[in-house]
Amino acid sequence: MEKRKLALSDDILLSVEKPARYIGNEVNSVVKDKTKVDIRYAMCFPDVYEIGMSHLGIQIIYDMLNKRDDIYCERVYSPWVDLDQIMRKEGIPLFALESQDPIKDFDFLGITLQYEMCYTNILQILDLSGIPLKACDRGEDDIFVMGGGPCSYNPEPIADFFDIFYIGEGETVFYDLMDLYKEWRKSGKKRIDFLREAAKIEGMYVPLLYEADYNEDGTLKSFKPKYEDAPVRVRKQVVKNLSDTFYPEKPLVPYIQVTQDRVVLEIQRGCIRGCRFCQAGILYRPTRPRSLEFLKKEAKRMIESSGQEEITLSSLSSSDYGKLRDLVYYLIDNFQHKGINISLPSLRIDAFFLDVMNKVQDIRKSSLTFAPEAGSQRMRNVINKGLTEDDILNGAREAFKGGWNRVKLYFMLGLPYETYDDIEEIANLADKVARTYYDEVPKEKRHGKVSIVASSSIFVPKPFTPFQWSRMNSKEEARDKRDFLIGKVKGVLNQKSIKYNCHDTFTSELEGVFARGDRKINDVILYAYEHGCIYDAWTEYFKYDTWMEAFKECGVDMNFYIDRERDLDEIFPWDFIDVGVTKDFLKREYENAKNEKVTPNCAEKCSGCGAGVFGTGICVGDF
Amino acid sequence: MKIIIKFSKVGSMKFIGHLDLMRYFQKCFRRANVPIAMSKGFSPHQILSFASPLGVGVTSEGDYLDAMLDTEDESYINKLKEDLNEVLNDEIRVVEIRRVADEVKSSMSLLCACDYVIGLKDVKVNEENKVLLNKDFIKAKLKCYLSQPEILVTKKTKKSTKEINIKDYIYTITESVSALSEYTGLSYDNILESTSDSKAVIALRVTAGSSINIKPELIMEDFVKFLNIEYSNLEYQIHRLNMYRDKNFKKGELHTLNTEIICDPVAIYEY
Ligand code: SF4
Repeated sequence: MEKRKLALSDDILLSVEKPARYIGNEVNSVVKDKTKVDIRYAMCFPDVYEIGMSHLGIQIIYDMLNKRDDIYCERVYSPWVDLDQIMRKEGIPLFALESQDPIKDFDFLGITLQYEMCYTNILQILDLSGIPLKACDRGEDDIFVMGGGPCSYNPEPIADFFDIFYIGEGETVFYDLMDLYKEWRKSGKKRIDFLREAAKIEGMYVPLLYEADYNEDGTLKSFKPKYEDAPVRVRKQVVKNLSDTFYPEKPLVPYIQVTQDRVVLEIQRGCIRGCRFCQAGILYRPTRPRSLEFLKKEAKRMIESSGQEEITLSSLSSSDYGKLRDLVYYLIDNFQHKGINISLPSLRIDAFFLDVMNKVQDIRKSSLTFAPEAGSQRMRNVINKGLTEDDILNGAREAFKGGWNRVKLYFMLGLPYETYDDIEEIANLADKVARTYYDEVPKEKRHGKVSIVASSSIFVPKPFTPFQWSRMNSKEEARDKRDFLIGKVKGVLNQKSIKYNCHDTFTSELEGVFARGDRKINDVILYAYEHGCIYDAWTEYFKYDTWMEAFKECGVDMNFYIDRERDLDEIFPWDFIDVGVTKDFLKREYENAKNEKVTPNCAEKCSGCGAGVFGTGICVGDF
Repeated sequence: MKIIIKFSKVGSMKFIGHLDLMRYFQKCFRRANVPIAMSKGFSPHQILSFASPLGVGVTSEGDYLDAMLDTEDESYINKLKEDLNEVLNDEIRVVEIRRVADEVKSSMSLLCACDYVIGLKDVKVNEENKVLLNKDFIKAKLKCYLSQPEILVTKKTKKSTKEINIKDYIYTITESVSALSEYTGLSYDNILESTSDSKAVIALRVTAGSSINIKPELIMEDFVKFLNIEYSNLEYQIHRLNMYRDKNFKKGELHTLNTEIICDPVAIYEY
């Protein structure tokens, strides 16, 4: 029998953890004759296989590109640290999973940027592939490196490493870019000619074509194209009709267990809520639901073609999806008897929720989730989180009566305008939830103690949010606040029922620098990578001291990026990107935050944020 | 009805561990729309079990999976093999499916022996070890090896290490699959290049099962050391040829796991 040729030897595969990460050939992975295609595209998630394989976005693009006979799209993920060492020592080039061919031989390498802490992993991918790290050092025969995903909305801290950033949703202009590439290759023109032409496709940002100038204080003085024909602003690309677009017909099914080992049904894109800390809520405006028919069809098709035993719904705020009841009951009626689990995202607690949960879950094993994000109503008004204490306590009461006794609460520390009184309210809120249990559920009906897990993360201000002007807390401040909260939790009546977790404060600072960084950060990331930093998102591999040294050696002051309230007229590195939502709207919202003024959600009243220019979704009444 | 599925697992699939393999089969059953019986309870699961888990790195042409189907239609079995091979990949194939009586105990509990062949991987042939491919040499050495009064090896488990005399658990060791075939009276497909007679070092039958399970690499290591050659497990490809239970559950005569026919011998043997 013909054996599939693998890029790694038996010896290597048998000496690394989870060799199945590197062998490809998963169910529904695409096999094509590489001699019969014009374009070879390597799609990359720069983290370990189990995380990368769980990402829906890649599967959509993978499926979409492979629909074309002239393109072969394959996948690549970050080799885990054990294999990383071996590949470096033995000079083995990074390869794509499907063909097991070196990435270097491909036409494109597309890297999805889902979180800032993966930045050194980008360099790992380029380095192991043998691709010059900086775009300006790449030659005529080198691959084109593309970036996309949420972090590409401020691409500047990693602009040096990419040839093209795709700003917006992948389903839109990808084919145009591929067609342009084919034409360019036939023409025999230079690399730069392709890049200049690519920049003319709406949504494509080619960093090499732009120049940044700085003021003496380090802020941006100007940011403009070097050539007249490159656009001054780059507009994000938006899918107009999400019920008539690409969706993975045959989702990839990994051999090993991955983080999200189930069929994922994205029910809508965007969020109507307008929480002021949330970047996704702005980036994916306007909110666009998918039709019930589309979702039913895709759910059935994906369950059948994958053999997965679980389906989950995904969106930023699933309770806001108008046809949720119909969809959920359809799934229960059609798939539950076949042994398919239906896993639901956190939903508003009402009669529907209680009924559904009783059907799909063993409630004694599951927990309720609330994300009040802040402890006091005052703070929730600041961040425009439309969830009141009554909502939480009433919801909890109903659920407790229905048999639940576990609750998860999510908060943020270090929000703008936060006081110690607001933080104390986190402990009080957790306590009130516990009291509700003991007050409302008679002793004989209780299933043991109530268990409350309160978690807090450190708030990181993000571009394109009303808090993009805000100062971020230093790690010392964050630590003080955390310690204060630990003390307060210990002081409440039901402290024995409450467990409190807090995120690492070191990585948050770095995330803060990357999130609102400019081109000067590129050198810092390069330095850190060259001195051994990879997998920074993994606490066990995060090298704090090396990062501090990198900032010092590159002469970059971290505090410039985090410890500073920005001037309202400051030019931001990401201002040249047009996400529809205007800077004026964000300023207004920043002002409203200061005044603790709540802004209604898109379904209640349009606030004229600017996303209406896309002429779709909720802005035109489709909701 | 209860069925036993005999399958092979080669190539890159040797890197898939048995828990992942189980999940893979479950998904394949679903994709092929197999009427697999489900357990009761809040998260029902398919009623499936392997006769014996195959270690990562080991290939096989004789592994067994017990399954319970929600149908009594025996004619479905042929279709099932086709349907499964349609959804399985090239490196995991269903070889044969047979029905057994519902009351037959699990293959795991009946298992008592396994046949293996161990070959020297191509890339690993060097001056020092190429003598391992010399059939006459190996044959002679095996004779000496097996005539030792006892063969003591250290067996490591999660909890303890203990010395055991594996001689009691070796049915035979030969120098090739054809020699093993002569001993067992069975024929093997031996579908792997790396364990063909020219590459094989030893082929053997050893005791297996839930009470005593002898890993072939244990014997290989001991034998190679007996030859005064340095041993590294990465140099050899282990390939499982078949698995057996005692006929009538007594030691002595062996039958492949799926030969016990209790319900309707003719119908099953005919295809
Ligand atoms: S334009 Fe109005 S409806 Fe549309 S996203 Fe903005 S606020 Fe919401």
